[in-house]
Amino acid sequence: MTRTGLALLAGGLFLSATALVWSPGVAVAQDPNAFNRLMKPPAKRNPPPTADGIHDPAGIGAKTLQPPRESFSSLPAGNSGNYIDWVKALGDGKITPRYDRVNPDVDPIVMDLNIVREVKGSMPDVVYPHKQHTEWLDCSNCHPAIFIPQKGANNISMASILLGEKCGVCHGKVAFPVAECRRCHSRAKDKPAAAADTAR
Amino acid sequence: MPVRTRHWPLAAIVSLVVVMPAQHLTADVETAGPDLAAMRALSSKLQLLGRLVHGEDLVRRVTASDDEEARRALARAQELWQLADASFATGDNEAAGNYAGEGLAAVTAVSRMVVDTRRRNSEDKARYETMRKRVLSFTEAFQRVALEKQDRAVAGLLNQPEVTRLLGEAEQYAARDDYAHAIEHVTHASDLVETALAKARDRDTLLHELKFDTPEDEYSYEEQRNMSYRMLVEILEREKADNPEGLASIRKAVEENTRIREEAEGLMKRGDVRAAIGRLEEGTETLARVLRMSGLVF
Repeated sequence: MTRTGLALLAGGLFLSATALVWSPGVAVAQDPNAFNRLMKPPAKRNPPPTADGIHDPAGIGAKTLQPPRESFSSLPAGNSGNYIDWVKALGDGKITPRYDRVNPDVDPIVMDLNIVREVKGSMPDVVYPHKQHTEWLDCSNCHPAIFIPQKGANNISMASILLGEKCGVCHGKVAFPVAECRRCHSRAKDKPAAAADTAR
Repeated sequence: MPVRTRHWPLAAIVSLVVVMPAQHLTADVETAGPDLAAMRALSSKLQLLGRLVHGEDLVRRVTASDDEEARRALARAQELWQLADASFATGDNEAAGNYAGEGLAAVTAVSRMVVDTRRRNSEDKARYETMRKRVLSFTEAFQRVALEKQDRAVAGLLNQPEVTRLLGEAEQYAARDDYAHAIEHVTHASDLVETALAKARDRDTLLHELKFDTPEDEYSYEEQRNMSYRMLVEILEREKADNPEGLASIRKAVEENTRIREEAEGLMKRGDVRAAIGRLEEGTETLARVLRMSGLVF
């Protein structure tokens, strides 16, 4: 949990540059990113495959892959992970990912259904937009193994997500981390539910 | 309609490919310098190649097949491994790397030439059964939606007899171990159900209200919420490990929450559920404050 947990924080826990920090004015003055040492500075984000610590730098494939910074240059910026807002990139038509591994003609079955989950406390309610998820994923990626497709049948908590269950199967690993609270907790409690309230 | 293959969509899997041997990532290698790291990576690659070219399963499959080309390709892959190993032993790492790369490409080609039918059949069977369960689960979901909406037009979105027919035929194919056809049928059924469900739910918003059947349920929810915040604060604590001032504030909040939680547990034992809930809410708010102070925006 340590690496993942720290990555979550690094990914967006300290989003507000003006937020109160533990030693105000000291570290911030020297380095705007110092209060979050684990968030990589822009120059160190998305290194080429030969230097990313994932690919074998001696492998032929690593050298032939297009460096992410080059391929990402025209895509909308995000706050974490590889710093691309993939949902926006897809929505804006910047990318047209193939939906099926084998058949290039398959279109996704997009479901435009929002699930609003009320939560206690000061956090806004959660909006789960099926649309943005089904544009990328097949229903079977989540149902029924992770989420039973039945109202009230799924017990979801932040604890379970942080333990890598439910939403945490993807979020914090290959999708934006849970520390980007407002992307899910996006419906103010005094507003009516509406499709326009969906996360980006 | 194009046949859907029901793998993870390409977009979702491209970022998951990891090709580097595990040893390459070990901390001692990182600190020992690039030469040693490269040598260990090469050594791992050779070990992998050795395991692949002499793997019992692959050798058995190739030997049992009457594919002369596959036999020749396997022999070549084994030869490349020997050449790579010999080069590595003499310190010619560049040659070893080249032979190993060629060998891995060769053994991959062999594996594709002689398909492991037993394994593929087993995987297809599992895939078929998963898909069938999913179709049944989505069909039930659709029926619940149709019932909830009380609308004939919605009910008519799903061609249920066709789904039943496809599932029945799929079962017949599966009974004959013909999973290719079984999967094709069940995939078609799945498309029908998912499309109908997507249309039935189009632009809907479902509200999961926060209602508790009993105060005990609410207490249980509060316990879980408090635990969630504790986990977030634990992460923050690690982040602030080298900041004594920050750490002190966090630990103070954690201690305060622990004390409040114990009080809540005591109240619960005495049967004062409402008061216990209230105390837990206060504890959670204590943790929320420390998270906000750290810059978490909520």
